[in-house]
This record gives sequence, C-alpha cells and structure tokens, in this order.
Amino acid sequence: MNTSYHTDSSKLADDTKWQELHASLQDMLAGYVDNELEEDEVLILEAHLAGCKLCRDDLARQFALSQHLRALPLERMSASLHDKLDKITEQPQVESKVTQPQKASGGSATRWLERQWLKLTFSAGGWATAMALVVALYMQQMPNPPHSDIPMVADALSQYTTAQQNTLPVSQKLSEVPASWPGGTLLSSWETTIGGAPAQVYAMRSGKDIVFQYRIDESVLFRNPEVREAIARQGRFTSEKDGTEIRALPMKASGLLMVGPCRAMPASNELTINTI
Amino acid sequence: MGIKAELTPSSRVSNLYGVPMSNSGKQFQQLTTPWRDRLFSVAVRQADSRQKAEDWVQESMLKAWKHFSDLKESETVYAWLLKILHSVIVDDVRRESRRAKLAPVVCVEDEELQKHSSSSAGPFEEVLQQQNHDRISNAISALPCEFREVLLFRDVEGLSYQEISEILDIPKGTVMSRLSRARRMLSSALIKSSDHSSTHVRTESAGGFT
Repeated sequence: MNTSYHTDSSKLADDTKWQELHASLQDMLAGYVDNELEEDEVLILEAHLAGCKLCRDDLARQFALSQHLRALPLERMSASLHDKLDKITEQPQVESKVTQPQKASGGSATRWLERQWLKLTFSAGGWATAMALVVALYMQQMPNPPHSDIPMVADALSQYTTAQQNTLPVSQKLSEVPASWPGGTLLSSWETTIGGAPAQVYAMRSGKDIVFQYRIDESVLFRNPEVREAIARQGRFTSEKDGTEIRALPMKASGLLMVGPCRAMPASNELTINTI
Repeated sequence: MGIKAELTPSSRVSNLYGVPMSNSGKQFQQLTTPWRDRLFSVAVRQADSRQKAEDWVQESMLKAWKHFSDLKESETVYAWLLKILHSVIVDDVRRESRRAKLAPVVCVEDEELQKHSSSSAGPFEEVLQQQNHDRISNAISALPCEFREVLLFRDVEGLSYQEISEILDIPKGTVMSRLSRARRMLSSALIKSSDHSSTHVRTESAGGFT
C-alpha cells in the first residue's frame, strides 16, 4: 500500500509540473503561429507540442483563425465624418505655446518625411511612394498659388498645384531637361497639355523645393501679347505673386515655361538652356 | 541613388523650420487621410455603435492634429494614430464604466481557457467557413477589450508584436500571451455560435466531423 501511495504521489507531482509547463507554453502558441519566438523558445515549444494534442489542436485553430481574420473587410466611415476631418486642421494646435513649438512641429514633421523618404528610396519598389513623399516634403511651402489670365500660365500653375495633392507620375524614361542649373535635379517627367497643345513637364528638385519646367509649343508661348512683348523687350516673361514665380522664355523651336517658389528659381545667369 | 546626396542639408534647410500653420495642416492631412478608414475599422470593431466609433475617430484625429509635433521620426503614422485611438478608447471606457457602474473588465481565468483549448481542431475550419463577416466582427466585439485590441492589431491590421507593444505600452511577452488567449476565446465563441445556429445541420453530417 505504501509503495503504491508513493508512486501515485510522484506521478501527481509530475502531472502538476507538466500542467504548469503546459499552461505557460499555451501563452506562447500565438508567437509560434506568428514566427515571433526566439530560437530556444521554439525548441521548448516543439518538444511540448510533440506530446500534447491539446496544444497542437489549439495551434491549428490559431493558424486558421489568423488567416481567416486577415480577410475581414475594411469598414468605412461616413462621408460626413470625412468632411469633419478635412476641417480638423482649422482647429488650433497645442494650446498656450504658439510660436516656438509650431516651428518645431513643422520642422520635426518635415524631418520625419525626409527620413521616410530616404528609407523608401532604398527599398525595392519604393520609388512611386517616394515621389508622393517628395511632393509632400518639397511642395508644402507653396503659398496659395496665384491664378493667371494667360492660359498657358494658368495651366502650368494648376498642374503644379494639383501635384501638391497627388503622387507625381513616375517617368518612363528620364530624358534630358530643357534647362538646367546648379542644384536642380530631374525627378520625373511626363507628357501633359499646356495651352491646348502637347507639352512635356519636368519635375525638378531645386534645393528643398520643387520646380516644374515645361517644354511647350512655340505658338502657345507667343500667343499672349503680354508675354510676346516681355520676351521682345527682356528676352523673357516673368510673373511673381505670393512667393510663386512663373517664367517663360523662348527656345530653339519651342518655349520653356517654369513654375516654382521664387526662392527656388534659378538666377538667369545660373540657367543653362540645353536645347538652344 | 544620386538623389540621396541631394537631400543633405543645404543652405535652404533653414527655410523649412519656419513652416507656417497652414502648411503643417496640409502635411497633417496628407499623412493621415489615407489611414482614416483603417482607423475607423479598428474603432468600429471595438465600439457598440458606429456613432461611438466615429466619435472616437474624430477625437483621435483632433488629438493627433493638436499633438502633430509629437510624431517621431522613427514612428509610422498608422501606429501613431492607433496609439492615440487606444488612449481615447481607454479614457472613454473608463469614464463610461464609472458613470454607468459597469462591471470591471472581464478577467479570463485559466480554467476557462483550459476548457476552450480542449475543443478539437478538426471541425474548426468548417466553423470558420460558416461564419459571415458580421458574425466574426460581433464575436470580436464581444471579447474583453485588452484581448480584442491585440487581436485586431495583429490579425486584422497585421502589425508586428513590437509595434503592438509600443502602441499599448506593454511588453512583447504580454502581447503574445494576450493574443494566444484572444484567439482561444474567439475560437471558442465561434464554435459555440456555430453550434447554436446549425445544430441540425451538424447532426446530419456529424459523421464527417468526428
């Protein structure tokens, strides 16, 4: 009787130990499913799994459930909430501190974007996304752009402003730019329409801003009397409003139109027209 | 690759740090707008109504805007928004429970889990197939909130344990154990609901399941 009692009790102790291990390993099953365990944890867990059907079953259920939940559809908020959120930036930011923290806020967010952008540039397939970020980073400072009565200028301005909201198209090929200047780098180029005629746009980074230059049809360039006169007198047409500059000049058989923040526009003596 | 070199600070950098409000507003919208519906999805699965979820999201976005400068360089925007949403929900639930004197958050006992873990795995795939999205969403909503959150973040939103641990400010080990339990609870709830709704269907074809 004594012997038998002894055996039962040690068996009981073994069972308790096993139960404890079983209970603690249960909490690691998710990590096994998600490949989030350390190597030694995997070894311990696999040893336990070999002898524990409860845990094997649980693991199978977790795998299946996790897979299944991935397919849950996106729930969409109401249009009215979207509208409210569009206006949320009209609310004041952090109260009481007005000047300094605001500056820091812009700066830190900008640095954040810059970091993300760098990361994306080096990640595979990140180029299109990088373009979107470039726009966010470099075009954010454009003040409310002026509109113009000259159709080609209005077109160029509106395209430049639209690009602020969207991803820049990614170039099929980066062709040679019509005008170049020190510090100006071609980011992307695509076909567009200016003044009703086909044109090619070249998105350039100039310092920390984006400048668009367009190769436009010659007839479009000279269509407006104001532009014609300015080119005849000074060799180029310039218009500046609210920090945004528009510049138009003739090239060999076409016109060059540039739009960007004044501070980013190259000085005339820096500008090399490549197609003249 | 040449682009990288171009990004090194130039003399123009100083211009960037004086970004006026309107521009930081634009930047905020550019960064957060793509995540609005995802954020709402997470909120609505934790709320008892869509209205509540919208209130949470609106409050979260307002908080995010007010504290836009807190967004760290290393942080992803979505994780940052989720963290804010989490704090909004926690505050709200705490406020509500104090007012309505609701029972404290359900504490899941190990015995309960043991019982659940013994449900066999065989028919489980079938159980999942029987559930439509609404029933699954309802079952998720019924989980105690700390379990529900990790499950949503991991299995629906696909975040890593590290990201979840940062959002909820809990150790990775806790993320793992909560997730293990959350999946177990959800599995058990789905098995129960499928038992209730299709008893006679199951008996007809019971042979195939055992």
